[in-house]
Amino acid sequence: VKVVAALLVALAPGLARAGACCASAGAPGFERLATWEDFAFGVRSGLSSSLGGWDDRGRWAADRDYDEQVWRTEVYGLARVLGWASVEAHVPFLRTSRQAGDLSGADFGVGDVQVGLRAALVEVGESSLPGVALTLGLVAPTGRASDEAQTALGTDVTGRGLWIPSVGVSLEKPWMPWFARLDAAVSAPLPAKRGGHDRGESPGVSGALVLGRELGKWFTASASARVQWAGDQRLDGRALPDSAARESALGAGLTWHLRPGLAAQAAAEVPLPVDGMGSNRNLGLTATLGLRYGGAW
Amino acid sequence: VRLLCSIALLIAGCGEAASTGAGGDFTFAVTSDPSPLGLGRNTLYIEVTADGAPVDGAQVEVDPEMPAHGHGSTESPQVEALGGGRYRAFPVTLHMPGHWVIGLHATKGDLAADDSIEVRLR
Repeated sequence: VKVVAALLVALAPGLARAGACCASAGAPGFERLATWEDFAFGVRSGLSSSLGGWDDRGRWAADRDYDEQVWRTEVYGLARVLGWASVEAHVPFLRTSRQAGDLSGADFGVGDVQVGLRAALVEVGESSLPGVALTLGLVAPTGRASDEAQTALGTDVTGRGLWIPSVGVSLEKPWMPWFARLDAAVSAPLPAKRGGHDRGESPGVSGALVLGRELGKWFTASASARVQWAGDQRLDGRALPDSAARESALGAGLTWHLRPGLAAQAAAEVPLPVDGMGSNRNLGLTATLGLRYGGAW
Repeated sequence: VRLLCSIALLIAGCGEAASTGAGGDFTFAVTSDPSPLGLGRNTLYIEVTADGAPVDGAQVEVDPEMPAHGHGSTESPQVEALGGGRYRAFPVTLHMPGHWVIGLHATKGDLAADDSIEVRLR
């Protein structure tokens, strides 16, 4: 399959991203290496504008005397290793502006860097079986945590202050021109001494379902549903009551294959503003633009 | 505008604020400016009594936390004694919407008391 894909790249570049192997590779926010790619890198930049949030009882309420705009720009890269696996790294930069009551402010900083390993057990499109990959992730506390905030509104907070390892699985099934992908992961934040306390978080679970379709030669459209459960917050070894969190959101994306290997991406995500679809989380409407390039050595 | 609102009254009369009902050797009565508590910087006026008598010279601490976010406030409230068992804490900065728990802690000699106020802001 890889040889055929490589030949397609050489002989008919416009078709390079087509085929069962590669349809979802450039879906915004769910990037992976296409079968014919040895590397990919890109940048995406998105603006999230707060809409409201769910309280600890799961009730949704729109923001009233609060406004938050987060401009997140992420540089990322993926590289194939050992033929069947890939490594990736994501470096985010955040500019946060907030207005709460009589306070307002804005700041900029580097967020938490994330690295990951994806090991393909069954390559997508190689058989009638769904593609299966195991994923390992690690979020490093390179951003500024809340207890290190220098501003009254915490606009300079860009990270969670914890090492967060995760393990997951990704299943993908193409029915060209359609594809479906299901990602699920378990994360287990490691406790850390912060602000004079041992802080931590019970394990959490996240999942995302992506459905997509190639639209002719130049475009791939996708729709996604994402859920996340975060475990109880832990302070000095004890779980804090009513501190677990949930969130859910729907998204849509469009990938424009500009030329072989090069794609422009657009995506939008909105939380489900309904009681019971989340708790202890604030979310906003997010619009993202990106540019991705993938190639072979 | 100040709304006199004791810890006990906060449960029934102050909308989204409630006391956790902890206790100790002292009783707290709390008012806030603005009232009810809101996003941004707030001032708490805390009256500390023991058996109805005002307690002066206590060490009073105020600690806002967002339990579900795993962090506290971005600013540490400074507490000053006003006399007559009254204390003023500022800034009590609630910098984002959500569920806040404002811990109150007072000690004097061998006596101590803890309580907290829960606030849901949007």
